[in-house]
Amino acid sequence: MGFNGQFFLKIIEWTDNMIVKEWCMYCGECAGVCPRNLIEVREISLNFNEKNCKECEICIQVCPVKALEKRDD
Amino acid sequence: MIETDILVIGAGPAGSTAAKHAAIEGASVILMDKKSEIGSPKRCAEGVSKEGLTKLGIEPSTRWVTREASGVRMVSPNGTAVNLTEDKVKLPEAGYILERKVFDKHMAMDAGRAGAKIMVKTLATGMRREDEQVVVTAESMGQELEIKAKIVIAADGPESRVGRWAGLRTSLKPKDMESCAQFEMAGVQMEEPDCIEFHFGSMSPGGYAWIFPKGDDIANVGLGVLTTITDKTAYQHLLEFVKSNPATKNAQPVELNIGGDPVGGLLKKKVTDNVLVTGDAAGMVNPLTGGGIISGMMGGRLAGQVAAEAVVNGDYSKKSLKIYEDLCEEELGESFKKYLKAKDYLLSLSDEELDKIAEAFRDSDFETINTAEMVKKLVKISPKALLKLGKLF
Repeated sequence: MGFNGQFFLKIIEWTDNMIVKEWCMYCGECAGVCPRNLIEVREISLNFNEKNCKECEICIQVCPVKALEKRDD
Repeated sequence: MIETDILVIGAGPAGSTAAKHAAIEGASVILMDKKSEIGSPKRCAEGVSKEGLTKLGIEPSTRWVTREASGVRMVSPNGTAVNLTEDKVKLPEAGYILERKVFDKHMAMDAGRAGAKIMVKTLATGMRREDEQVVVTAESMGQELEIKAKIVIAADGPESRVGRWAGLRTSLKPKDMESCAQFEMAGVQMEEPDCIEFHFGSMSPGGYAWIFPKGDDIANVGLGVLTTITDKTAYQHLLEFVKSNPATKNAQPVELNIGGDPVGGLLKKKVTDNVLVTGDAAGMVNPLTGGGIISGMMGGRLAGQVAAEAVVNGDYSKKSLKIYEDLCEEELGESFKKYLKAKDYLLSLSDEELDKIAEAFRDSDFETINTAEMVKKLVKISPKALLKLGKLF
């Protein structure tokens, strides 16, 4: 795998760090505290713009039902 | 491209009220909401003051009032209760307990009847400026839309993104955002079913727990916590509260609600060119009680009126919209500052202090006691009240 392949893999890692558990209720509290406005709350999904995430993890901290998790690897 | 004078994003009570008043003033208005059902799921305890509805010119309807509450019962950690009734003390959020799912829809219907065009299941995905106007991109049932508006009113709740797209700092620090969880329950056995109940103490760190009666044995049972001072989630705290409270331990849930409540006070900068922020998105929530229905609607009305006037004048600049900030400050800001102080004091109290205060006041006749006497009594038990609340009275 050449340089491009590694780079590609890296991007996949970066954009797949946040895990939204199935019991998420899309209340949007995480979006309200995200200092970089990176979370889009839809009616029944959450979208993270992880490219610009600085991993402050405030979103994980405030969730009323612990439905957010960061993949640790 | 769809064109309109005013685009309101978010059809909660604040957004619908903004849309209604902008339409009444003659502007063309679009009101959009990302949800398929306006008002659902609810995210709050559903209490409003009668006075607030009157101020807004809204006639209570049996369709959305579940019951009247004539008083407030405040309970300390050891169960000591202090009862206040509305004829004795003016109480925010005491009056009616709503059915928000119905209420929110009716407020949106009023906006529609006033002339606003309503779009449900429509999510704003971005915003850009064009020819001194704003173009909002949106998605609705798989379709990409562009809506060009002279003014956008951001009423998109505590998770507000719209204001931030416009450069306003609507994001909240965790210490200013209560993390809330609530069950609607049946089989609740309240001691005073005519009172809304507040429970204070370490079972709800940084906030309080509530029981709001909705008629018969039904009640909203919930709490708010600050996640900066507890390791448990709001939901975990709620489970413990429900289990330990005599009124709820035999009750059964039929609905779970969660959400954030912005309790840090009014957002300072609420306008910029072409954009006004209102409701929860602008921190229009009583910082002490967390109640934001009436205050959000008050703010929404101002936003709608100011925006409509700006359309008439053909000036959508920040300067022209600035009056909105002054009006909000006048209408809400002053009282919020007092409530913030009261909250700081309340949250500084230990369980023992809360019990002592409740004990001292449980038999007070609030009809005859005046404010000065009350403060004197409070300071005797809790000297720091003088420092924390001094300027309030």
